[in-house]
Amino acid sequence: MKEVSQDSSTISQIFQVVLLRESLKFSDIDLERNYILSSWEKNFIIYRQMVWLGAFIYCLFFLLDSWAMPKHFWDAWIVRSVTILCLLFAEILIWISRKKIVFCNLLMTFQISITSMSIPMMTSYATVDELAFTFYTSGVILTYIWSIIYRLPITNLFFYYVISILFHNYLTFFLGNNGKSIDSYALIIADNLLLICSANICLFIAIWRELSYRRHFQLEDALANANNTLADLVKEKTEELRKEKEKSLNLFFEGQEMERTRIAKDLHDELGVRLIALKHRLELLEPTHSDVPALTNQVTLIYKSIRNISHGLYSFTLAKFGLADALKQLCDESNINTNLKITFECPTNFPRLDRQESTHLFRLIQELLANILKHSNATLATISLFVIENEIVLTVNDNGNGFTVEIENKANWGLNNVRERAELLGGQVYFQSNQETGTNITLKVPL
Amino acid sequence: MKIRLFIIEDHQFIVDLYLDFFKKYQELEVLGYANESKSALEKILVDQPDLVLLDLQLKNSPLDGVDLIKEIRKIAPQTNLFVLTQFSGSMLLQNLIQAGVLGFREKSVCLGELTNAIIRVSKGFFDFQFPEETIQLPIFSHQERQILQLKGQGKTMLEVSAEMGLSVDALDRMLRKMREQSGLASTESLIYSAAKLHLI
Repeated sequence: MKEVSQDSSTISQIFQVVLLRESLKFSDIDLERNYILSSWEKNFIIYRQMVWLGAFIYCLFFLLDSWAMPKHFWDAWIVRSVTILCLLFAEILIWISRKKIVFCNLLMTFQISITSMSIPMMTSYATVDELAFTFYTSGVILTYIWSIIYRLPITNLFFYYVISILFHNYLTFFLGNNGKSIDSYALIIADNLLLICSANICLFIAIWRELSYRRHFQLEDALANANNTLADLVKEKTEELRKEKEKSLNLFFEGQEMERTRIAKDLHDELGVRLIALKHRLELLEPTHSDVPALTNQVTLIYKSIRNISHGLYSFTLAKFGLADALKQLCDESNINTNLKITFECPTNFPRLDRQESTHLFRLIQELLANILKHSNATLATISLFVIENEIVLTVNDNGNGFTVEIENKANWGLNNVRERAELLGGQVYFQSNQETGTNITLKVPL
Repeated sequence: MKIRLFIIEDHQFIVDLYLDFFKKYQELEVLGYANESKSALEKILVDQPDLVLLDLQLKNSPLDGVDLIKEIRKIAPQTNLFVLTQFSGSMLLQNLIQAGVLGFREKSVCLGELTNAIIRVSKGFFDFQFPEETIQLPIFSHQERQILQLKGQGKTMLEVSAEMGLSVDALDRMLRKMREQSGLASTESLIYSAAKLHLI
């Protein structure tokens, strides 16, 4: 059950990645809308507080205003009322359309523009130039605040705002009010309304672009994340499989080793001793019967072959004295019993390895020697065992026929076994073989 | 003067066989036998035999192998040791030499040869059956061979120096030189190799 659910989660992960890739292609699916809304809502209260604080200050200055410009007292109040009404209207629209992000942005831009307009209104003595200067400054400041609230890139917004300022300069130049004092609020209103429109259009474009970019990047991030999770999952699974394989291999080899040891000991300790006793009994017989020496010989031969079998299955020397001596004995025995002459090279200070490691290496070399004897027709071989830079380096050379990968795969020479053992030891095997020079096998295992 | 013999062997039928066989020899007297180390040590302590014939691997025994040999040498320093086992190999033999064993045969040896070897060893001679392998040693002087021989009998450096009339320092230097010449790591393997080539 557990495995099935894991598999289905993997499939869903893959499916998710595919989906994300598709959506990134067409940018149709607004997966991260919720994220934008939530960040927007978080700053919404602060923003509106600011707008209404501006409006409040604007109204507070009415006393100063009416004292400075008694002539335009009512004009000023009409402008003010219109501004406040606009703010209220925008507020209502924001409240109605608060789920629709782009529309909301537009309204907020409108609000900000009106508030920024109110600031130069407070200084009614200013010339149009001074007024414009204050206007721009406040606009820039508001742009900064805006960008902080929305976490938009400042340069981007600033660029659009500069365009709007240039546009306004152009307007004021044509209206021909340079250096003159204000005598009509209507002019200012018209002027400002033009500015507001241009600024709003620019800001709207900026925000729209920003939001679409943001969505694109969010989709990309999501895709990258999903890809990463998928890669991690694949890695995890591979590692799991590798570990499982290693575990089962280890269990297999351990079981094999145990069984071999048991059989070897039974052969050696029971059958071997009984055969020795039999041989001695035969020796004790008076050799009157001519068959006795022949029988003794036969028993000796049986004993020797049983001993060889048992030593092949379990190396007493390996268990007692370690790898180097066991290998030396292996080579000596091979030199006596077969046509293959093996030279064994190993420094006297070769370290004592742990049981499992030395057993693996011993069996591995046994396997290689068996291969050489069976397939290569070699007459000479060299086994060398060294420690070089914290690595056990084992090389086995012979002067035989060599082999090719195809032959090896077909004949199943047990080289797979060698590879598996090397893998378990965390080492690497290199095979090098050709018909003229024989085979050279190198194994490197970290110490 | 009979050779007083003690047998340690876990298989009773092998013991019976030896007893049967040694009866035929006038010069051998079997004092007794044991199947495990505890009773063996008790009897050896009392009897102080000339020679102990022992199997290296003892089933159901608190001690066996080199540990048992060391114990026997402790309680009966005059007793010569003869090891019989089914195993062989240069490391094992080196360990036996180091422990002070004088005789070694594989168990499958002919009984006649075994008896001859026992008689030789009981006189204090060194008699090992070596596995077939290739060994090369440089040529040693008479004095050097004598040192190896004495070391091979399980004597300490002090004892050897007293017998040879050499200082321990000089002895050590000679041994080190011999090891370097022959490319062997330990004095035991040196003795082993020398013994195998019948240099000592």
